[in-house]
Amino acid sequence: MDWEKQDNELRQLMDGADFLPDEERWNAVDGWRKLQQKRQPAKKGLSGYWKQLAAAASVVGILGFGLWWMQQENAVNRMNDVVDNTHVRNTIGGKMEAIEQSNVQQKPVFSDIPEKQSIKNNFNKETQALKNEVKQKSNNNISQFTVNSVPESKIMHHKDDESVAAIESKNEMDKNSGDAVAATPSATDSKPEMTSIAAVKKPKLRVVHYNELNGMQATAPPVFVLTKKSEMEWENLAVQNTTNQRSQPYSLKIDISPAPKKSL
Amino acid sequence: MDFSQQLTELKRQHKRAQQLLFEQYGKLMYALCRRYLSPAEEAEEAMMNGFLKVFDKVKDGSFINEAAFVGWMRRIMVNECLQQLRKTHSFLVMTDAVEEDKTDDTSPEMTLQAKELFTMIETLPTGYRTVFNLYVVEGYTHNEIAELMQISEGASKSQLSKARQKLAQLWKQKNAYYGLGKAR
Repeated sequence: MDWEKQDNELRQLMDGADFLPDEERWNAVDGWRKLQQKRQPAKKGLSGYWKQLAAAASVVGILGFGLWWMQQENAVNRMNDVVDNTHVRNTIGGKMEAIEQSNVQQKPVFSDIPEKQSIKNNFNKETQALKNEVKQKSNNNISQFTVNSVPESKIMHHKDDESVAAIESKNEMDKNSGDAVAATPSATDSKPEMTSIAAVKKPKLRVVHYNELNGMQATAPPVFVLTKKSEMEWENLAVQNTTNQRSQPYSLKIDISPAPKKSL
Repeated sequence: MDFSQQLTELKRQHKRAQQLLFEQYGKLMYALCRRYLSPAEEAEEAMMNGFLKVFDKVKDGSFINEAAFVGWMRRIMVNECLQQLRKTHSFLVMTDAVEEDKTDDTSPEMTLQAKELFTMIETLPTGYRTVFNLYVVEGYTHNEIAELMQISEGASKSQLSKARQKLAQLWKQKNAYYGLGKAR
């Protein structure tokens, strides 16, 4: 049998034959599209890489923001702790008895809240009066202020719309002992806290809650006290905070101690 | 576009020339792969891989004429098909029981149409089909087939012989079914 001849015939028969099974059709366009898709995985992988990178960056950003936020919260809490501790040490330690023994007339915080406008007017008048007084004193003679001088302060504070409370206090210092003996709380505006303290010599500020003076636990929201250091210079002090907005209403009293005596 | 120009552009990796080549020879190469690989998806996969290799390696080759270039492409496609077969088949296990054809009149007289032959080749077992395609259609020697398929030369000859017997058997059955007899 001539296999070689037969093979050659078959080879010629199949040479260039591009027929397909009946059910199959050749589509060059579709085939080329598939070929391009097969070529693309490198590019797809690259875009996928960028997508993954963006997703990872987003996650890291969110985590970073969370950490930053927690850090801020902790910082505020630490400051609050410091304020609370020093304030408790300074007030409760030695002053409590003296304050309790004194005949301070304490007005309930929520009682008899006057009209808003009248409070505002009163406050403005008193503030202006204080300013004038301070200006006058500072212009006259600084040296006449001694350790036992009685600086005047005024503080306004509020907690929320319902529990508007303010203390207008002209701290009356016992000139002999230097202890706070009286404070006159009064209801006032619901505007944000605003304090003006007039003192020629730099006073030391102590913040006392009336509620705490009465043995109640209360924390106030942060209060920023402006202290006038000179005609053009004011010092901003954060003196109080709160951690529980629903806690007992409170009042504040500013106790200004005179600066150490200096011989002028 | 003549062949030399097309080849130059192919070597420069021009996409348009590549698409033109695919449109020209895609069907032929797919048919080639389809003779080796039975599921259409496998054949298509092998053809795609083959074309990607052609596009990649054409810059390194030098071809006298288009026929040489097409021959080179066919070899690449065949190698791709064999690689695909190696993944799914073992060429060592290719013994399909073929009844001995006592009359041994395998077809010097067989006058086949290419499509009929293609259909019959497709029904052969993988090993027979591969050796038959490589030897008869592609013109490889038994030595080359043994290297390509990593089998012995004797195994290649044996597979080819059995493939022929199987085809003759199939041819007989086909003609008997249509009542045409041997002569056609």
